[in-house]
Amino acid sequence: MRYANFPGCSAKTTGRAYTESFGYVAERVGIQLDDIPDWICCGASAGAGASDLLADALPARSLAHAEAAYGDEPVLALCAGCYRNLRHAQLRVRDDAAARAQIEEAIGMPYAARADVVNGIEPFLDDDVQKAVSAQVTEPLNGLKVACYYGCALVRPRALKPFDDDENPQSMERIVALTGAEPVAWERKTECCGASHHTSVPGAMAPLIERLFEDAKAHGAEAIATACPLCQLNLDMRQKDMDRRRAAAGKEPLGMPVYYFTELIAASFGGPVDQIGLTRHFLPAEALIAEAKKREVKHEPTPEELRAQRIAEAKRRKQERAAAQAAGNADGQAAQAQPTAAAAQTKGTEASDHE
Amino acid sequence: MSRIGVFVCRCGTNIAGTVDVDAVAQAASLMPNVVYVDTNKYTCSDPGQASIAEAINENNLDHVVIASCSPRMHEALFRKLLAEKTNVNPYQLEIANIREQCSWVHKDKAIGTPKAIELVAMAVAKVDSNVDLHTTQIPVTRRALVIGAGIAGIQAALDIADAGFPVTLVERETTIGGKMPMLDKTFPTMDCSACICTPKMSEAAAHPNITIKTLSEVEKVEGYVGNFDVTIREKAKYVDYDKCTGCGQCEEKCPQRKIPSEFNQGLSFRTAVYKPFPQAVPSKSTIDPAHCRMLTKGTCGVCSKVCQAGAINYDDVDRVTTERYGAIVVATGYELINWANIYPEYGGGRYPDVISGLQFERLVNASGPTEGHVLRPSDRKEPKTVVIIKCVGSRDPHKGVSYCSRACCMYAAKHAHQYLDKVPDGRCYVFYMDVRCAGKGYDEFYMRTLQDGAIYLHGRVSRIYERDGKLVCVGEDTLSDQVVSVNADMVVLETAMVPPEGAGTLATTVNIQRGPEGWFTEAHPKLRPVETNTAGVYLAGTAQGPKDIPDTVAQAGAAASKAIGLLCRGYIQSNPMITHIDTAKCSGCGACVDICPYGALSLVEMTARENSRKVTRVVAEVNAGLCQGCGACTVACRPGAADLLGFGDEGIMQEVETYAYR
Repeated sequence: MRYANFPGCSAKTTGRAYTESFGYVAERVGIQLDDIPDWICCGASAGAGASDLLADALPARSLAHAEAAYGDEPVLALCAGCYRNLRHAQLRVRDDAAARAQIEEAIGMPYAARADVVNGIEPFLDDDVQKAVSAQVTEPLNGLKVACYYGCALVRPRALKPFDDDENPQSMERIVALTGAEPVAWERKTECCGASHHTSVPGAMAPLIERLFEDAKAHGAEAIATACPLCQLNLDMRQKDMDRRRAAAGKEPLGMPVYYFTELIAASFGGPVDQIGLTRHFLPAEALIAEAKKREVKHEPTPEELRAQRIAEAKRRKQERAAAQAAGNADGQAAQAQPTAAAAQTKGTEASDHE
Repeated sequence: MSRIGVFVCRCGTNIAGTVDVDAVAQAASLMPNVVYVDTNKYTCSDPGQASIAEAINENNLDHVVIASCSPRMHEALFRKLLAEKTNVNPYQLEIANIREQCSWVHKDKAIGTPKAIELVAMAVAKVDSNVDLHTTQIPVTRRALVIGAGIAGIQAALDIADAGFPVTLVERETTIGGKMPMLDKTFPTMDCSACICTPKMSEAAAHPNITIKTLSEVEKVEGYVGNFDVTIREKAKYVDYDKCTGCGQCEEKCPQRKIPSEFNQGLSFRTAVYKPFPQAVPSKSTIDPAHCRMLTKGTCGVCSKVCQAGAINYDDVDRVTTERYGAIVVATGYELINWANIYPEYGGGRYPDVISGLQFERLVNASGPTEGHVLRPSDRKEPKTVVIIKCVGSRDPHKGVSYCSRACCMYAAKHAHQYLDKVPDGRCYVFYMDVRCAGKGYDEFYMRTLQDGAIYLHGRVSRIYERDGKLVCVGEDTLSDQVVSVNADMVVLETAMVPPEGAGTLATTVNIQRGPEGWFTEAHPKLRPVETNTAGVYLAGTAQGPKDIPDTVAQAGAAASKAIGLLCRGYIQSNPMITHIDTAKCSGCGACVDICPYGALSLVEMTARENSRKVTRVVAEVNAGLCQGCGACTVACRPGAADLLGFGDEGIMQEVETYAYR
């Protein structure tokens, strides 16, 4: 599957680890990226502040370039903020003829909005891609407990017709599970990380990330997986301060590596740490992955397997009884043993039925 | 030469506000064959009608055009006037709709007046080609069918049966009663729900005029008002009800004991052979074929061994019967919305202590799984803090339904009251959007709940999560403008009422309409609230829309009285505006037979003398009882043999020509 790639401003800066790990995985699972020529800023949060038209026209210009160059190829935006802005522009142009005319006028290019805008998770929801991922996993992250964190922009607002449920999304979990890691169920996966307010009012935003980590830890997570450069940055960079504050208050530190979900996939493919972004973290992130790979694989039997085990056990016991009965026959006690065995047999079947 | 009278209505200012009525009358007086024109402030009023009758009789009129509201409003009334007070045939009447399709949709007399004149001109042209039509009487089968045996169905069945007509009460569950016996107390009087419902159930069972069919569904309805041929499938019960004494021995010995009880809303277990609750009617056991070991795996047979009456029959089969009924009452009730699927933020069913309002009813009920002690499902401990969330699914177009479910405000107040009554040291928080307590004694009840100490918080809960054994409910109190979080031991969700599964299929089977939300549509929201657009089919209870028990029972009585009226009269007037086949033109192609939605047309052999020879050929024939006058066949007919009486091709062409050449 080919995608027109919109890198956005984070691709070579704060989100470099995402770009590198996504690229590493993409070329191994059949996701091809075509860079959009002459792309410009998506408007970030400033575009919408200036005017509604600017907020849609800025992304629409890049989308129009993508359409001119690659036609109907879906547009991939790894950054959740870019994704939100691009998708807003795409849906507005597609659904509102008047807005389309106005925006085309503003960007001086035709734009039909045929191609969908997708985020970094969506290419992995394809069955073939998932099969390819499973096939490439050579160093599984045995049972690494991961809290998948979506933040606010990937599955909201509902008007942008998000790809997953906006309250309890599950798609990142399905992908992360392919690496052998174990996603945990937790409560705050769609809550805000504080976004850019960490720069302007860091004090007010601190409790937001602290309660995220607390909740993840309470549900057994050892690490957090994200699909948004700003979420990753906020959670990764602010931990040191948070743990210092906690230490001063006599609380235990929460330090928890924050990965892009593609880093986990790349790591499970055996990717070298310096090529898949793992060396770029604030909180050292390599050790946990290395440790997880060495863990012993614990196989939890499924209910079906448990049932099969019980049936096998019952059969074995039956054979033993039959053998004992044969021995008893030799002793001339056939008349007594016969009904007992029959009763035992029905009892055995019923016992398995009860489960 | 015909003598046409035109009567133009002002309808107060409804018409006169945007149509110059005098100008219309003036124009009408110049139309061909019009000999009399009059205007009236309210034509439908008694004096208005009297003046029409007088004008017709004095001026010897033989065709009448009334320019007023939609014919769906008063056409029947004016036809009756012609039939009773004049010698004019009632079908020599045309209504020109200058209100709904003219004055109400325009704002300006410059547009409204010419349009009204055109509408009147067309009606005048058409009425000139009308022919006399006569109705006939069709006998009515004096029996009624009630579909759904909740409190609405039971009440309707009892009322019809008391009037002396046989009633068949069809219920798809194993017992009649519906939701009401599950409830603990009913607001605002707090009388025991089961204690007032179960006597009605046994009264219905004992009534000589009522036949109850449980585990039964209506499969097919054919025919028309007064004569519906209804096919009912009575599913296999695997127990011979004639032999079963309802002793319950089978239930005690059944080894399948872990089936979630539907009656207790999954809060307790039942067996595979079971009676949902002690007062169930009929008071017999039924085998659930999905869980019975004998029926699923072929090994068990315990109930058959213990049954002293020998009532168990594993080889039982469905019974399909077809019977004729004169009237049908649809009382199929509601279902609660499946909140777990649409509210993942409330746990989506992961937390056992987040329960629905109906589950709470079972918890506080003395015959429920906890014998009336409020104990939360997870650990059977008494919850000290309870959060009640209203409008879960209701008034939430994004996730649930956009309408208000009407009863929840009151039962939320009732739940708060009951909880505080049973757990005096408990705290109860109610998150609400509005408190709607319109009803006799309702607001007083709500005030009493506030005095009991229930804390009402204006806002919705955005998230529920578990922390340290508590259910943390995060929401907003918009009155103090603060985010609040309540550490609750148990959460009760007051969920929306939605149409039950299968309502769509039933609507198609019975041929009635459903609104956008899926509830069955009444013929008129104010003036015909229990009738449907299909004559002879009536609505009772929540099948028509969410309502509480008093409204349900009142509506059931109204539906019953409509059905009784039909059955008492014993006949119906046939509609003469049906298809007529001109056999001379009919080629017998059968296109009309294929297109007719009512099965009213068939092909028959006809022998006639044509061109001095005796010829036998196939032609179409209309069943006057089945034809609804929809006109589909008249369009499908290639030789133009099918024509709709009262809506003939000639009359319509006259209208079109008049419009085109004016």
